[in-house]
Amino acid sequence: MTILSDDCAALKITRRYPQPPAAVWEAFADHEKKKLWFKIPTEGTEVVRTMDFRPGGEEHWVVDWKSGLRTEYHARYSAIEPERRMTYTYDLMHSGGLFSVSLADITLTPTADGGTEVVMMEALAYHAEGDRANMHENRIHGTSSHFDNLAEMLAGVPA
Amino acid sequence: MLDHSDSLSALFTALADPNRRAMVEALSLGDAPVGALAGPLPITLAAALQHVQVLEGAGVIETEKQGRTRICRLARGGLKPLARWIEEREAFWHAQFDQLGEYLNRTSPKGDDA
Repeated sequence: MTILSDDCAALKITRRYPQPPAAVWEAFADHEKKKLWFKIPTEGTEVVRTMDFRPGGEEHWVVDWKSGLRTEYHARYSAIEPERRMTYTYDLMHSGGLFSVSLADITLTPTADGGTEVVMMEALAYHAEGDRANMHENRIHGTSSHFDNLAEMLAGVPA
Repeated sequence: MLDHSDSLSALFTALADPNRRAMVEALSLGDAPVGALAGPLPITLAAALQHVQVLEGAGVIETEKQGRTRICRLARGGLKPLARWIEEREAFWHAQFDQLGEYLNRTSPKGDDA
């Protein structure tokens, strides 16, 4: 994690999988396959789930949570190089308010053992006005909903 | 297996317990002494104090002794909001990539192809 400014941060995640790039790529490119791993804990209700995986295509994912929060993920793919790289941007909304804007880049590289190294870089700009306005109730609500998100995600992570 | 920083692991541990989550939710409505947090929950005061220690150690809450009472409040300033949010995003993606690994192993098990 890198803090870039008061409002911006970047993260980089590197993972290795024993499966070849073609199989890993399919898990991103085929929406039915993507839904099997890019998923939410069970306490949420998916309201919208669509993906058009091509340059200029969009992906929408809207979830209603037990706490009453609604999260919306609205992505647009800018560049796609099959089995190698995808670059996309996305907005994350919390209950209708803009929460963050991101630029993400995912690369797939074959490894010597026939597997795949996946590197995801994401730069984020935070826009959660209500959360960062220095007002008691907004801070509390923001804190509560952040912890709701994290706690609900934790509750859904398999043991 | 998950590549998390110590502070993130502590945060996960702190919030993995439903009673601790309930205490954090109660504190989102306002500061409270430990006894008041323990009241609605099916736990002893001693257990509540332990939960408070875990939450304080993870930086989720702060406490202050006022006379014989320990007052709890959600941490402010200690956890920079941006750092907390980026950790949440990082945690989200780590979980998704874990799930990708599980999906791949289910559908193309290691050693399945020469």
